Amino acid sequence: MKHKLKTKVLLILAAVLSLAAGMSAVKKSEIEAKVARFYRLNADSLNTAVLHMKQHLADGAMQESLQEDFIQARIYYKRIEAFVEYHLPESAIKINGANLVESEPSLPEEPILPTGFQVLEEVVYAEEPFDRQAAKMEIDGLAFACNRARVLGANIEFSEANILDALKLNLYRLITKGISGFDAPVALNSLPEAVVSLAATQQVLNYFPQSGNMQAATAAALDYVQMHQDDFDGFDRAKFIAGYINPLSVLVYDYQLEHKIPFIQAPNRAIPANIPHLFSPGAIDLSFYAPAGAELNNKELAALGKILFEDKRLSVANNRSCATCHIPSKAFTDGLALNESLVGGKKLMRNTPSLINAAYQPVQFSDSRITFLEDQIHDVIANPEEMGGRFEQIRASLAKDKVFMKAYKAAFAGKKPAADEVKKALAAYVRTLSGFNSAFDRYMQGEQTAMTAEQINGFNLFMGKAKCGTCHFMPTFTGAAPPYYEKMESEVLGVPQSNDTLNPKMDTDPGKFQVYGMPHHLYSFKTATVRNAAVTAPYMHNGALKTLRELIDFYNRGGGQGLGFELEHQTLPGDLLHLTEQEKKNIEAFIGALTDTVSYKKVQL
Amino acid sequence: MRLNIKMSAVIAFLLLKGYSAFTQEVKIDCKTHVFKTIPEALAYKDCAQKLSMRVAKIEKVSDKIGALTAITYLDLKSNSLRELPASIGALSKLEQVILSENHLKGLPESIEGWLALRFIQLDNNSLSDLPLGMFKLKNLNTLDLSWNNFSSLNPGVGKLKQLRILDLNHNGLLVLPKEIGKLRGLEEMDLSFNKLKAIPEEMVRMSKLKRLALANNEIEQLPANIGKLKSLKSIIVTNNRLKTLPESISILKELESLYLSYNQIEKLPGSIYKMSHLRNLVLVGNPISAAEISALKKALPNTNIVF
Repeated sequence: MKHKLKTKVLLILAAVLSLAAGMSAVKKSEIEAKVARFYRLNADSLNTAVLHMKQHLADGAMQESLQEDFIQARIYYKRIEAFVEYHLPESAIKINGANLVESEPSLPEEPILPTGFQVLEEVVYAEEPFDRQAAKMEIDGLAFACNRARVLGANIEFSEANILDALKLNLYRLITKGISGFDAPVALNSLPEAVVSLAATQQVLNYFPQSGNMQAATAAALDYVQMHQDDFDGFDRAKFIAGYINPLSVLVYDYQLEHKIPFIQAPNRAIPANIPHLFSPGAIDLSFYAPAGAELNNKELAALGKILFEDKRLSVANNRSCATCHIPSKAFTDGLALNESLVGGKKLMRNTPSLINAAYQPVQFSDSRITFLEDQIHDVIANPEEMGGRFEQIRASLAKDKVFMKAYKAAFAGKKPAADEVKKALAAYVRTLSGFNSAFDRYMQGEQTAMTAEQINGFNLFMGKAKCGTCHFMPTFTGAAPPYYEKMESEVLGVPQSNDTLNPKMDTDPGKFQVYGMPHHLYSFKTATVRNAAVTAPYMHNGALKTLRELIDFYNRGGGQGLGFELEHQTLPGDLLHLTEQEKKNIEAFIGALTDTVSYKKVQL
Repeated sequence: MRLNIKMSAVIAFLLLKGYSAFTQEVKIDCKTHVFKTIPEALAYKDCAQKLSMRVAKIEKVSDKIGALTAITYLDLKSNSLRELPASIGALSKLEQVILSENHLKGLPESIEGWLALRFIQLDNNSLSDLPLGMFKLKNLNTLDLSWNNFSSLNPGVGKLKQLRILDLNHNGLLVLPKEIGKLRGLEEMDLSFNKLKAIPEEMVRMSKLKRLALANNEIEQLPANIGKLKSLKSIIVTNNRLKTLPESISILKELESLYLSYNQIEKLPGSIYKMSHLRNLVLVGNPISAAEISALKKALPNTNIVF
């Protein structure tokens, strides 16, 4: 009787509450409601799976058993990853962020320790002894974060436009990070997870009417990866991306156009929503990396910048221009390990980087200390060791030059060039040294013969066994993390002072540590682009490694740790890559396919 | 059984009554009530004036915030925001905005619609640039950009004529635009912990400036005409590379405190001996001779000289 009464009360309560909900809820489209339900169910499953793992651990489960739980929990996460990353970016970091220590600039000495799957993976897959206490701590943290994503998920405002935008970004995430093993480097379960991710994509696309083409393309991609999911090293990523994912991405784009679903306006995003796929020409919005008012399409401004680029009056003794070190015929490098300092007869601290595609970087300098090219230019001109220029003198000198002033007046309305205008023009010129027109780009745009078989093998190694792609993210091949490309990663590699591998000594440049004084940034450097690496030797921040082969060998042996350096905070795994001679050749060949020939043409303004 | 039905009816009645009380329009004074969520405020969208989602663990702001057009006070401090929706620009009556301690990398251009804005805190974010729309906010009197990633400032900052307080401490400023000198109404300016080698001569036009903080930069000299900053009460130039001070500093009749610790000053300008109105003169960490210190003490008996 008591039980019946309780049931009745509950029923009445449910009726009242559903009435309330019905009255207050905003009317949602069927698709949005279905996606909300899809999210809710999978977020519930994710939470249950993590709690299950927690209980298992408490019951004394062995490591192997916990590894199974770990894989299962990640599968639920992969089903909703698109939406967690899109709507709850902070939760996404807590659940599946990179296993890297961070700090706030205001509290440099207080590390913010990473949490989530990637940290837990290190614990549950660790070789003996298994640290149960650490596992408990990480699972507790993961449970908290997953619960947060579940609770906050109830407030996500899904729309047809943002659902498709999130799915497309997740496809970019899948091909740039997912299939490279970026977020599951130890479990190496990336390909089965890609299957799950695509299955979830297919399910969500199924909610859209007349979505047969998109679903079929997703199914084909899913079948392809499923067929090869047990072969991480042998998986043909080039074919998977160019043959399956790019076409799928185009179909999503076409569907939006056909069904008049607006593209999300995201001015503060490097990858706009209205691009067919990640490798489409112009897919990366250069203006994202430029300050307000940069005038990207102003030809007169860029032409003035080119004149200034070659003008030695920018330096204190009129003996060094930008082009002295960034030599156009050397892909805007100087070919030297270190160039000469203008002070004290010594060498400069760091290697001269190429300027090609420098404009696509969210930060400048090897230590990432500056955001915009305009400020980078100021820093170099004013640096006594590099150019030592004084802007008042530069302005006066330029103002007297009639030829220069003619070009100046085509770009600016002022009577005399201002320091800001000099920097603005130079930055505009450097932004023209951009072009994603390498053989690799053409291949990804559908030109199947653009890369040789050797280069394709090299790409597959780069993105797989050799793990290069887990730090040098496509398509910029820098450390700018996809799919937003706004945060530049830095890494502690343990770079040697020279290419002497018999008596290696570690380079002592503190790197990014100098910027904020955060301990984990000691010896950390920006992950520079691999684009044009075939023509921009020597390598690393100090130019210590002279050839691509030396570079590949350095990584093959596990970076500085492989050279015997005791480097506690090396972020590069110290494991051997076991690359064969042929594999090394293939990687070199692929790097050759990353040379942006278009950039040289663009120099002629 | 009958009893049960009766009980059910009573419970249902109570629940419904509770529900109706819950849904009944509660008298809320829109002028003083601080709404805690956007849906809550949307129920009063034509009159809700204050919205505080401080430490609310939010990661995104709903587009719907754009409907809260009566809002004058918005506090989003200490969340995990990386961006703001463009619709937020529709809040044209906003007077005070607190966005401190988020992860903002940029602001939408639409904030040019915040025409009533007087006060904005953007400290502790990841900003390195401001949208040009920011410089249309003619009523802005307080702008806190401390603890961000600025290496330079857009010259447009000179258009913010009503600005009284500008805080830029803990950025990576290499240089300031000369247009900053157009901020004639500025009273407080904090540029500490940057990488400035100099400040623009044009800044001496800030005749209302009372406090100038330049600590922990790389400043080699102060503007020769610093004496024109006639309202200055306090100058903090601790931890810089000054070798001397401009003679004109003694014209600053309102100056009460001069913090010069940890520079490379060997000799002070002769005019400083006339600054009897100075209350504090801090000279720790400079290679100034004992003889000069004692001469100073003698000339400025009412000044607290720390060396």
